[in-house]
Amino acid sequence: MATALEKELEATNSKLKKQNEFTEKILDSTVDHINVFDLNLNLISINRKTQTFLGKAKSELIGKHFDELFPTAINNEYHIHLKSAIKGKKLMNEIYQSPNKNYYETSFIPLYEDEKQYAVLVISRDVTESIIKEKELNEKNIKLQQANDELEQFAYLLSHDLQEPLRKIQTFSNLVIEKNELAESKTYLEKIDSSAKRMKKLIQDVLDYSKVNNKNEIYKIIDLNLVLENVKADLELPINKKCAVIISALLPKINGIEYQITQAFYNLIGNSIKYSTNEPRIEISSRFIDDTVLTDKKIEIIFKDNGIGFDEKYKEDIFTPFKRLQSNKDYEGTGIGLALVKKIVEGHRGTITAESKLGVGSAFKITLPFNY
Amino acid sequence: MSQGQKIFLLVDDDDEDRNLFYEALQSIDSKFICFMAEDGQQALNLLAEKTHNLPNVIFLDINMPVMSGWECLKSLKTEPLYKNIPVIMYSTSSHKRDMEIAIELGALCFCVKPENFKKITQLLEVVSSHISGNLHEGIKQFNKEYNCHFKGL
Repeated sequence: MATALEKELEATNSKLKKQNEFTEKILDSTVDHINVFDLNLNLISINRKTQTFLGKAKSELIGKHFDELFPTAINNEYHIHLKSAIKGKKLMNEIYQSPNKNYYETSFIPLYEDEKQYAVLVISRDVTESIIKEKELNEKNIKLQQANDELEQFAYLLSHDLQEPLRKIQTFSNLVIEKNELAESKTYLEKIDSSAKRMKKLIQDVLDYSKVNNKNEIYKIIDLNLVLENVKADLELPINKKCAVIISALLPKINGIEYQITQAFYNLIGNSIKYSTNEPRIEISSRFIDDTVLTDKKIEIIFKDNGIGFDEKYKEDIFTPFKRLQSNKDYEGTGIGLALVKKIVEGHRGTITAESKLGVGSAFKITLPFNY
Repeated sequence: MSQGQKIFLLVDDDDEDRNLFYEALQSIDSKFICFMAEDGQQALNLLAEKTHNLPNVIFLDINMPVMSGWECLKSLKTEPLYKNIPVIMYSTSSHKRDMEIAIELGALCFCVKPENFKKITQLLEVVSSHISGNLHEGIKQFNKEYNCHFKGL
């Protein structure tokens, strides 16, 4: 009799043991952290994922208090959610960032026995990768949206500014045809010619601007002193015409796209010469900026002139394509020069700012990462 | 202002366009008076000087240095002295958005600068002959030919 009972007990025990092993196997095979804390925040069950994470044997962990197990997590979101769950609140799929910077999606489930809570089951999954991917996607989306907006604005301005010289070509051509008088014809034809030239310049500038989008450019070490010499040679005519003086300190070498940096120098110096009433004096200097927080070195290049300057309220506007503060009559231009400089500088992961005082002069500051 | 004297104000930074406008106006009637301003700010300064001789109509370009046509239009429409002067936005651009903005800001209409002299003259003939009557109706007749955009159309 006793043996029959013993046998039955043994069989039940063995069945229970198998079931236990089966459950434990599942718990230990999952990629999720599955742990149970009692109402005093002591760990009463832990799966292999968390053991591996903590780098300790199960026997060292069971019975330990939360604060001892996760000292860096005290008062973080996990801790706070766990404490809420101990008071009976069920929390599902909460996402938080752990002290190791990983993201976890975690559920806190109160456990009951005879309608009385005795523990909290915590199931936690590392979702860092998908969160980062999602973030990257969002950032890319924002950038795409910005590029789209820029393109739209660009197309809008382009349609306007290209139409203006064209309209005049038509107007004056019509006048030639209608009047058909020799002396006047010459004047009108000259106007047609100058409009056509302006159109050509506009198109060239627009092409320059759109070319800067090209991502397959070659970066190399450029000596800015040589860049400056080349630009001075290119600008020889206006320099001589206006008796411009260009003073430069010894400039550094930078890592960049040579033709673009040359273009940026050309536009900035060209502007300083153009937007001046008396003899232009242009000072070019540079300095290193050590950003100890980001531990990356930057180089600042300053272009200072004594030109006509502009009202500081336009210091953002001047970098907008086709935005002009001066009329064509006083100062020829297409309004793309500074927009192009900004695009080049930003393409080099740099920034450009301007300071100015009407009638006194302007200063443009380019900051570039110093990385070679 | 003497009876029947018609005063125009053209605000345009482009001197060639100003000349064409003036010539067209003079070819209709040499007694017409035409004030010129090269940008919005100049226009406002000029109006402040001419408070007893205000123009009957203002032609306003959009893209101008110093003060754009939009900013000028806003100032005109908030100033009690000027807000009843009809403003015709006068620009190269024929972008739909500009036309909508013009109407929103209280311009009478948006008029794309004609590409030939004869058309400028025709436009100004219509404007000048309706200047003391119903200007809105007057130019409305011209709508199709002129690519103008009117309130309520």
